[in-house]
Order: sequence, then structure tokens, then C-alpha cells
Amino acid sequence: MELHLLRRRECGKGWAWDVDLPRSLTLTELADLARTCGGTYRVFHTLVWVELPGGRIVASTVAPRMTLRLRQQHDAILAYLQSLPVAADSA
Amino acid sequence: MLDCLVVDRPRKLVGLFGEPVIFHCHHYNLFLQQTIEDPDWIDGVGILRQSAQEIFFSLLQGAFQQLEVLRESERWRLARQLFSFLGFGQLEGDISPQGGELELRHSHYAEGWLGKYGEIINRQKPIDHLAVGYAAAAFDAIYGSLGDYEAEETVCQAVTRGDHCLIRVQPVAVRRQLTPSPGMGRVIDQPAPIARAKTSVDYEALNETLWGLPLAGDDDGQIRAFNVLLTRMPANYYNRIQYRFLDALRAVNPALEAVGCDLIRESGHVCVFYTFGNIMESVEWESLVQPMIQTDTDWVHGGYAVASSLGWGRWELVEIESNQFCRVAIDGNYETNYFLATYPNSSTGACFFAQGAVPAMMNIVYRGHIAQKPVLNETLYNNLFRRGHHFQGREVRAREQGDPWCEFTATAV
Repeated sequence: MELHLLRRRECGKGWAWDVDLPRSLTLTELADLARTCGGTYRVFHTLVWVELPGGRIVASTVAPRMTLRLRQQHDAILAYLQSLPVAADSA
Repeated sequence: MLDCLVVDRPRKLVGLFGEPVIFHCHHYNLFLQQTIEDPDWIDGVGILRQSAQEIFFSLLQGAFQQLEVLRESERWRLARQLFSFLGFGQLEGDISPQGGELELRHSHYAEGWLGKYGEIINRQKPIDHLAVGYAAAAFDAIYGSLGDYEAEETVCQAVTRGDHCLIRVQPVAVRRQLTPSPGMGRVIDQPAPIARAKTSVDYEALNETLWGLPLAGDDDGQIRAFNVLLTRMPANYYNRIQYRFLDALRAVNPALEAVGCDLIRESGHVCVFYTFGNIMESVEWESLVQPMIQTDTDWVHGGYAVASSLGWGRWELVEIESNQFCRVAIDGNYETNYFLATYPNSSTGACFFAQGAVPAMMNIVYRGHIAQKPVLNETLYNNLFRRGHHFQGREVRAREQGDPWCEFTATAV
């Protein structure tokens, strides 16, 4: 799928990446992302925290957007997201 | 530490070791602190440091008692853990009854200030007054009693632009007479029957989800969520510094008090503009709140549903007319809980933070057009609010004056 990225200055210090997606990800996809990148995930209703060695991704199962607060692993995560199908049901 | 939080669901308060704790972000923390430290005819830095020492002494003493931590080394470890958990940064160093030199890294105030103002201002004075008070309080609670120690920031990252701050702690010759925190204060007996205006936003569902988020300091001792840099602050720190600030101004000249009230209202306005503006642009909002939103007025409801999840008390939007007017009830506001436990009464409404926050919620939705995701910076803030035509607030019912709850209006002018 095609991604739109915005690198944004965080409050305080550091940078975050906002990733606009063509659709929201399923919990299965987010769990697979966590596993692929050596992390875990936690679910809070429709909000999902993907905890990775390099930081946290704040994602959603209903909103087509996620925020990456990571010290590393950006390329692997973006590559994973780009490999996903545009439609969730074709996954 | 998350296990030690106590959520009082009926009152929508959160307690930690007997102290009310609330979320606020660095925009508010910095603005309120600057408001108090700027006037050179009062000892603003003294107010900030002493209040921190008093309130954090109560928090730490409560923690040591509740967790039955007796050994000095264990108490120091817990004090450092708590400092990071609350989002203030990392505090390190060896301590003894004779004092110690502590290293502060990732200071909430110093890094927050550098991020917000560092490119335009060279700061000349240390900024970590809260950490200074915290350090003195930790020594008081570990080795002595409240007022036995004093602290000073000798190196500040906001001034040096280095990677750490230093705080020196030493015992005082004569114990200072300080006042511990009133704890949860005078809370409401039970929630009042307040009717919420019609909305599709489920406040209680949001409360439960947000209370369930494990928001705690990360490896750097910082809390990043909702696109902002948060602290889980003892509410009585804010309360004590704002009311002591007003007391100090009044002592200099009674006419200054009104100026001080306006400044604290402005801190509430700044807080909601930046904090809720960033919250409303976050993935958290899009995931949890936005699916409930059907109308423009639901944005305001969503704001209050989040506000009432932050430990601020029961905030209810009871009346709203799109882009014109709103009326908000706060049943058991954290400001009033402290005020009623500390002062006998008030001749006017004294919830100055809320007086600024309520119009700000209308301003961020209807003047800031937050649904369109503007860039939230000082340029936008000044463009919006230095020209007039924004919402102005008033406290129309006040628990601190004998009403059963507090009520605020915001009206377009």
C-alpha cells in the first residue's frame, strides 16, 4: 500500500513520523508487524501500542493513521507497511 | 507503580499514595511556572521550590508508608522511580544524611523549555524548580522531617544546553516550618445529579479506556502520549503555587491580585489550546474519540470526556449552542478540593484554571478549527487570540462560595 509520511518535531525533544495509510490496519496485521520487528503489542479498545526494541508505534484498528516514535527500525516498518495489500480482505 | 494508582470512578479523580494526581503537558507547566517566576517583586522561585518540597514530601512519605519501605537506600530508589514514573526525567546520584549532588537527565522542564523556546531565547537562569523541591523533599522524607533540607540547581541544561542538570542538596541549620499537602482535599460526598447535554460521545466508555492506558515515564522518565509531553503531577502542586502566587501579589498590592488571576486564567487557556489541540490531532483521538463524533458540538463533548479522564474531576458539558455558547459543570474540581481544604471561603469564584480552560475548549474547536488539523504554534495562538472575537469565560456557580458544584460559561464575543 502507498504511504504518506510526515516527519514532525515532537513536543520537547525528538521527532516522530505520522504515517497516513489508505486504510486502517487489522489487529492481525499489527500483531504480525510487532512479531516481524521483534516486539509485542497491547490493545486498548481500538487503540494499539506496538512496542518495539527501538520505541513505540501508536496505531489504530479504526483510523488510517499511525505515529512512529522510534530510535531505529523505521525502514523495516515502512517496508512492512508498503508490502500490505490496499484492501484488508485481500490480506 | 501503575498498580498503586487509585481511580475514584464516581468523582473521576485519581489518587497516588494519598495525593490527587492529574495529567498536564509541558506547555501548561512552562507557562504557569513562568507566570510565577517572572515578577521580580515577589519570590516566585521560592513559591515554586517550597511548594514542590511540601507536596512531594507528602507524596513520598505516603509512598514509603504504603509500600512499607524502611531502608534508606530502598527509599531513595523508590523516590527516583517515582520521579521518572511521573514524567519529570531521571534523577541519579549517591546520597547521605549530609546531602548529595544529584544528576538530572531528560528534565521535563528543561527539555520542554528547549523544545518550545530554545531556538529563540537564550535562558540565563535555571528552570528546574520542581526538581529542586523534589530533591529536598526526598531527603526530608528519607532522613528527617519536612523542612530539614534545602536544594539548589547548580547546572541547568536549559542554560548550558548540555545533556544534564545538577542539583545540590544539603541539610539546613534550623528546620524550616513548611506545610504538608492537604491530600485529596475536601472532595464531594457523592456525584451531583447533573444532566449532560445531548451527545453521542460516551464519556464513561472513554474514561475507562483512558484510565486503562499504562501512561508512565519511559526509559528517559518522560511520558509521551496524545502528541504531547505529559506529566502526572500531584494536583496540589498546581493548586499551591497558583494560590500562593495570588497571596504574594495581594501582599505587595491588593490591586495586583486581579492581574494574577488573569494570568492563571491565561495559563488554563494556553493549556487547553495546546494540550487538547494536540490531543485532538493525535492517533489516540482519531481511534477512540472521533468514531463517536457526529456533530461539531461533539468535539467539545469529546474534549470534556478526555478532560474528565485526566484526574481533573467530573467535567460535564451541560449546555452548548454551536459556535455561540456553552455551560460546563465541574463536580469536585481539583482546584476546589484543595481550596476548600486550605482557605475558609472565597468572595469570588476561585477556579482560575477552569475559568481559562472552558473558553479555550470552545476556542480550539470554533476559532482554531481543530478538525482541520492546524499547526499548533505561537503564531497561530497569537493570530487567533490577539485580535478579539474569541470565547470568553466566567465562573457562574462556585463550590468555594457555597454552591453544590462549580459552573462556567463561555460566550462568543
